[in-house]
Amino acid sequence: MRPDFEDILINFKKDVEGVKDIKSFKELRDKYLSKEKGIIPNLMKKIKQIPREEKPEYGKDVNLLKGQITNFLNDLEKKIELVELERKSQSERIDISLPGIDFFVGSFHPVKIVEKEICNIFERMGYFIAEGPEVENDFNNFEALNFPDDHPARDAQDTFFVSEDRYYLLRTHTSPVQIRTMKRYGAPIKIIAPGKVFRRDTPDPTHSPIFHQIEGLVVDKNITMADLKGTLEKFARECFSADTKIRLRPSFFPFVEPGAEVDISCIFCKGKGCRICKNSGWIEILGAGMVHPAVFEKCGIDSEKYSGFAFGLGVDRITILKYGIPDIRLFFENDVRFLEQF
Amino acid sequence: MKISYKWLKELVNIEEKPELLAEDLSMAGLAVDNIEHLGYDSILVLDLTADRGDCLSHVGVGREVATIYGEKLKIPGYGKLNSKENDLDISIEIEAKDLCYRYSGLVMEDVKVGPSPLWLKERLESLGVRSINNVVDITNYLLLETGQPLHAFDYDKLKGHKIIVRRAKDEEKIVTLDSVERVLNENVLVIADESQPVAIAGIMGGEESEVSDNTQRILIECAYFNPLNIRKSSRFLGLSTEASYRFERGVDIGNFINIVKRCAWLIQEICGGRVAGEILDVYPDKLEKKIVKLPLKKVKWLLGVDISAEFIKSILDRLGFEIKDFKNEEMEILVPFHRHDIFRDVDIIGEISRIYGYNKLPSTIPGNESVPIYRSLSKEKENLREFFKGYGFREILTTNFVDEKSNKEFSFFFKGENIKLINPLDEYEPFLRKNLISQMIKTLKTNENNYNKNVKLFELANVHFKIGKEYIEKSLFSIGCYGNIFGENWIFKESPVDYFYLKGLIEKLLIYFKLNEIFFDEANVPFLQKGNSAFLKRKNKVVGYFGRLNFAIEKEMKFKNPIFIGEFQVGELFRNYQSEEKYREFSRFPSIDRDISFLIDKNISYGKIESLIKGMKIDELTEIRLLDVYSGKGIPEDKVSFTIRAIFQKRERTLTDEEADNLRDRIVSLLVKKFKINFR
Repeated sequence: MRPDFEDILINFKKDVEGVKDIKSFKELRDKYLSKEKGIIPNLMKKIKQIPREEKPEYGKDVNLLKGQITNFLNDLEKKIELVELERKSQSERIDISLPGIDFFVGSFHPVKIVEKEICNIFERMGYFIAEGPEVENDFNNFEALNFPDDHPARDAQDTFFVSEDRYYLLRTHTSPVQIRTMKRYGAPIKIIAPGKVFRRDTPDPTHSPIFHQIEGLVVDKNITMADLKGTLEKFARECFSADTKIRLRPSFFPFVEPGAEVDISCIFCKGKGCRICKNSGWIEILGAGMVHPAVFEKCGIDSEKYSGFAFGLGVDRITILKYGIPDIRLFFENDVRFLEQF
Repeated sequence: MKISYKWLKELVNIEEKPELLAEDLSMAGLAVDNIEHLGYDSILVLDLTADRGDCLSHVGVGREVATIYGEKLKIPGYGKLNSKENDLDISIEIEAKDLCYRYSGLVMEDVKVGPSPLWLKERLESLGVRSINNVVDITNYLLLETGQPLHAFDYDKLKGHKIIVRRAKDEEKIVTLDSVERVLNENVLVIADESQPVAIAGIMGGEESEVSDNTQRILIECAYFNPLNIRKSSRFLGLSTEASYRFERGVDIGNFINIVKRCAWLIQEICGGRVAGEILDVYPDKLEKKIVKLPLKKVKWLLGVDISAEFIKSILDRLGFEIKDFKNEEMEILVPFHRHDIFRDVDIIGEISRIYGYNKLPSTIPGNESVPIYRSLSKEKENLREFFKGYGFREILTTNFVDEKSNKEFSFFFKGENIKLINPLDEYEPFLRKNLISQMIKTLKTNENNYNKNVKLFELANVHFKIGKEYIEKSLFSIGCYGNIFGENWIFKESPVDYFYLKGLIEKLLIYFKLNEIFFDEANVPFLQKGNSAFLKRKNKVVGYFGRLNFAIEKEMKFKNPIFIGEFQVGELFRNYQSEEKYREFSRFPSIDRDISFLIDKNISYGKIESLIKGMKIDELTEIRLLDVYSGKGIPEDKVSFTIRAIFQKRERTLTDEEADNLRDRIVSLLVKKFKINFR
């Protein structure tokens, strides 16, 4: 290479050391390669003045010089870009420990959560959801359910009446939905009926005049009490835990025969005995039984041909058990500090 | 019902400890709530169901125990009765045969009334019965033993030595044993002598004819009264006694003679005295035992398990049933008089199953199908709840019972008649609510009082009212909030909820449910702040409202935060609702925005401008967005400045700039023509 070219190369390398950022890099590149004023293009232009015999040699050396400088600049550009990127990353760093936008998350009422869970369990078993009104009449709430007029069995369900003749009332259980559904649809039936119910109980930690029940009713040919037992066992396992057991105790509800109260093995002590289950190992959660033929007859279903089972469970009670809530009155207080826990 | 373990052991051979006995009784349907340990005895506290009047005695419970354990029940009897040569004069007449089915009695003389022996006192007191005197204590003892209430009259106080079982006369009076004067009516059955009532039948004796220390001659009464009548009278008088409790549930009409004799014998042994006449037994229409037929196949049909005929027979026998006939796999069963809860085959199956053991039944799951049940709006209701939950709202449950003011002042939608409870728990809140909003406001206040910030709530519930004779139930949805949209921090120091927060949510709700026909209009709701609230309407029907709570109410209730609330009629919101979930082709070509800024008279609402533009039905116009609203400095006082952005797009190709400009110009010229706007 011509000595003057070697000098250019030495100067170029000195200039490179002054490059700190993309700006100084561009200045360097322009200084050597800019079409108008760049050192290399100028050398190219000078070729006209070179004696003819030296031209090939000169041209070769210019190209060599241009190639070396271009290669060098290309490598340098990549390095500078990396440096620039790094600088940008540094400058745009944020304190990721700062809190984010404080959105609010809503919630469903715990009783409604449990109500839905229970309904879902039965819906998976092929039950339909049915509904009925909260203001009922005596026929649907009592008479058709085989509660004789003025029978002591009515005492257990202290009723709110809304008409002077006491024919209209607030339903004391979800069982009137049984009557409405059977009368409207006949058999076969497989329903679950959630809803609000009302009893004239003074509020205390375990009583509320307004609470929630879920009624179940299955009517078909060949439905037995064993079916009731199996169904409730499955329900208890799905609602509480796989090792939950149930126990049926004979009891009396006018609209079923045989009738039962159903306990689950205590979910807190696993049946060993604790404060919640009063050391019995069992917790009562629902009432059930085989639909009384008198009920079928009131609803126009042939009681010799069809049988069925029904059950009714207290959603509030199960909610209290599941979440360990100490006082049922919290459900109606609606303090956000309570609601936000579910 | 309290049952003495020791007493029970005298009636049945029991090897089980009280705890195990209690468990076994519970599992056969006689729920034992509690056991009281007294040292010398254990008391089982039974919580009996209303159908088991037969177990309100030691013999009754003993029968159950004997059945469960396969033991024999030893019913206590009596010894030889001493009697006088000449009978004392007495006559018994049942006038009200529909209310008294049987009346038996026996007169005794030379009875020495005094304190009871210690064993008797102790036994009564351990079961919660106060000792009075030996004669009364014996009748009470037999009540606890047999379940049959007995009464002893002072024979010499019965005028004319007559017993007449009759209805009371209207306004007839009697002073009962508790020294209270009771005013009776024709529905109340009394035991009367020649001149006046001496007892309220089946409920309580009269003070005048009671057995006192001076009594020497007594009449023992053993009777059966109509259960329903006793129940009604007991309720009418507000007087419930051990006797009425049992008569209401029905006693054993078949066993009177034995009981009267046992009573006389105990009196003779404990108080001295002797029988002074034959047993009087007035039983005008002798009852026959009920017959129930049980086809054996029905047992398996209902229970899902085979139970042998032998086992069934032995259970029924021990419970006191008689099998009159058994052929063609069908039992004909006589129901004992002490069972008032057995009417048909299923009741017998109930007996068999409870003794067999419910928990021995197999477990199966029915695989049947149901007829489909249609439930209106269930999915929509659930989605509505989900929607508001998603935006940070929390679900509440409030009471259905309200005062008159809540219904009167806050029921915007329903003008029907209030439904009033006949027997409210709280006399100040006797009405069923016709709105949810009053309780939403109260709940917001409770939360504010409890120092809760940034509260957003919703409720879905039914309200009730009456139109004519019809009771109507409607579903409402309420929302309420105060505080900030986002929790206050360095990003959003403040983001207070306001009218436009609620409006934004509701606009999104309408899009989410594709409720295209519903529009906003200025609201006129007494408890909302006018000019800060809106209606949701479909045609002319108001389906909901929302906005700021009336300033006066905010002040009166001492709210510290601005309160925003809303209420919607669920049924109206989703009227004729069909969620169209069909895919619609979208344009794959770029859209072009054109912004238009202009000044307009303040009294022209933005809504009018928007609906004018939409009314042009420009196919390419996909959206109008309001980018800026300004009034104040630099703008005439009666004007407001709007910047709107029109977004144009064609479905089949890219729109040109020129086309977009032309479309914008069409809009502009219409705005100029209609509203005389000035461009900025």
